[in-house]
Amino acid sequence: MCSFLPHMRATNVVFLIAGLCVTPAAAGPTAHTGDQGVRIELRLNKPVYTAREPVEITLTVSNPASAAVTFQFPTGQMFDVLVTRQGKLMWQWSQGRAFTQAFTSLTLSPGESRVFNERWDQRDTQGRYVPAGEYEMLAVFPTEVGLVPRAGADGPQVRFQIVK
Amino acid sequence: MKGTRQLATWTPLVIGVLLVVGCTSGARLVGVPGPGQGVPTGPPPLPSSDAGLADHVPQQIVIGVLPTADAHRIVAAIDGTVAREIRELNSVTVRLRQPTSIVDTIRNLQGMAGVRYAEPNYIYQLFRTPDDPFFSSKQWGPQNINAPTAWDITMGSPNTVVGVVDSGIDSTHPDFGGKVLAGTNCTTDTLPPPSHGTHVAGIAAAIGNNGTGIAGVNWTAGILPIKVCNASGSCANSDISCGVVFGVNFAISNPSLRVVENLSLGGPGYAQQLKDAFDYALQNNVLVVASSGNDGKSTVLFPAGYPGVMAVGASTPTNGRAAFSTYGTHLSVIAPGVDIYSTVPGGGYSLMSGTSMAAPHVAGVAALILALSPGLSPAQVRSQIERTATHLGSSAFDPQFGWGVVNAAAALGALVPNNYGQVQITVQDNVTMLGVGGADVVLWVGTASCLGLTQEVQTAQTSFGPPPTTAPPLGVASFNAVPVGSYCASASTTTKKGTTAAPFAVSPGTLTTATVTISP
Repeated sequence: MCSFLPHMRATNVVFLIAGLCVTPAAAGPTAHTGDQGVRIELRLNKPVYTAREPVEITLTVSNPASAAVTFQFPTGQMFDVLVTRQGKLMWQWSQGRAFTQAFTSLTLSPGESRVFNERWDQRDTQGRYVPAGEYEMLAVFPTEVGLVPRAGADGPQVRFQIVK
Repeated sequence: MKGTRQLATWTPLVIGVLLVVGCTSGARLVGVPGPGQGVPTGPPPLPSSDAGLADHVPQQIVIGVLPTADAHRIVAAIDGTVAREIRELNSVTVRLRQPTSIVDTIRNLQGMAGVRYAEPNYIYQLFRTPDDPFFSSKQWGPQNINAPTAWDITMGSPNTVVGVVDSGIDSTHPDFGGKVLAGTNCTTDTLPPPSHGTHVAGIAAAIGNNGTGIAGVNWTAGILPIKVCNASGSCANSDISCGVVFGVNFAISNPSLRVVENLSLGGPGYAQQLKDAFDYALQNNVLVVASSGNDGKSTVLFPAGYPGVMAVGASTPTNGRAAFSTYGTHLSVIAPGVDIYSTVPGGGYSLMSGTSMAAPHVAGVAALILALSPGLSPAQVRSQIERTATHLGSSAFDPQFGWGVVNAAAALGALVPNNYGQVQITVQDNVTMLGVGGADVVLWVGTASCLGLTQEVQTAQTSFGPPPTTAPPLGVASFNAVPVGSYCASASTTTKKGTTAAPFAVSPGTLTTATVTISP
């Protein structure tokens, strides 16, 4: 059973953290949340990684409902992924990137999915390889500012391990 | 001949073209400046050849003579016939019998006794309304920034280039008419370009008065596509650096062209490599225009926050700040950025909103200025745009609006003296010697040794480094519009404070940097 934590704010990104909805599986931990009937799933390819082994991240937004859904975002950024260890930020996908500054939208027809594939090379925000240990990964959705409907969603979070 | 071609193809919709045939005087013609100059304060200087003349009636010259001179003798001397004579003005309009150089003939006349002035029979156009079907029905940006009046002065020049550092461009769009240059792709993404880059390019430089689609701000500037963002709109800093440098090297390789780079993108992270890339641009005479950001807050995003980069926010049709438009003391100007109609891949058009749409309005205006005055430096172009913007809010600079809404027509006027400079204050901790983000910084009228400061001038907060705030902060406060003078800066957090040890001078159009070390 998933539980939801209150809003958290970090710089210009607002996100909601879902409870840990980890599904231990050979394919890697998976967590999902929902927003406006849309299912948002964060999946890793493995539950345990060796040092410096790339972490393959799959973020899937799917619309199981019978009506189309449109999300709007204030920039070209539709998501972010953060890795933390004991509450300390270790890596953030959006670091070192800029985004187009026009409003964008994501429309999902009934039954349609949009998949984002990313990879983390186990380097931290300073470019150093992280030590072995327990880590958490959180998917974040930038919210709207001003004119458009809210694009945020409860962000799924998973746990994984890095071993020597 | 230039005048012939433009007369034959020009079809204004509303007010029409007024030909001044033999009705000019020796005074300057409003709205018809000489080439390569701002709006002149006297008769425009002659270019080296007829190709450099503003619109004029082919094979005609207007001559003013002294009251005692025989105008008909002078006309005969240049093998012309009198098309019109206005005795009250001692002036004749002369039709030349043989195709000959207008410029050379005028120079010849200027050396003749009895000639008071000689000039081309300029065409004075009241207002240019292009025949692009969406100009009147869908566009509001060019009208809002007074582009139609600016087009009376210049519609641009192929000797200027807008580098669109973006997500790629559909170069086959009919509104680009083959003027897209060979650019580059700094990403690994080979997918067809999404809408963003094509939309941005159209705002700045879609061809106007071609009976198709929209009118860009600058009709004749070349478009240099530089792909640094992938199809999703994500742009890695190293790819952006690659793109900025490509545009600069293009400018270096083509010294007869002037290049303006437009970056309709942004993010919270400061990157030294990118900062160096923009320094390289400015050192090589390339102006950089960037979107301020869409977070709706007083934050500094990058590249808008780098020194020398023009940060452009978004305005609404009623000249307000768009709610999403990022603002602050680093803002340069604002420009239309809500429901902007422009080109998209596949030959189509669509509405988009964001500061991404505001920046290319300014890039287009900058290229208009450089078409008219190619010798201006990036700092001069920036200053001219800021000094001539339509103020909103306060009478001068306002962090919400910068210097106001860009005004294309005013920006093409005479150069306005710049009495402002930029200041960047770095705040560092006395123990760690690292930058301190979120510190309050105050600029004061300078005093000896910065003691007894009483006159506060401006305030700002220092920026943070890459998000989140647990990362090392950058600790820089930017002031975009500081009147020339001597200043001191103080900085404070809840636990520490400090002041510059000595006053520093702010000079016109230059960036002044200073550091404040704070301690308990």
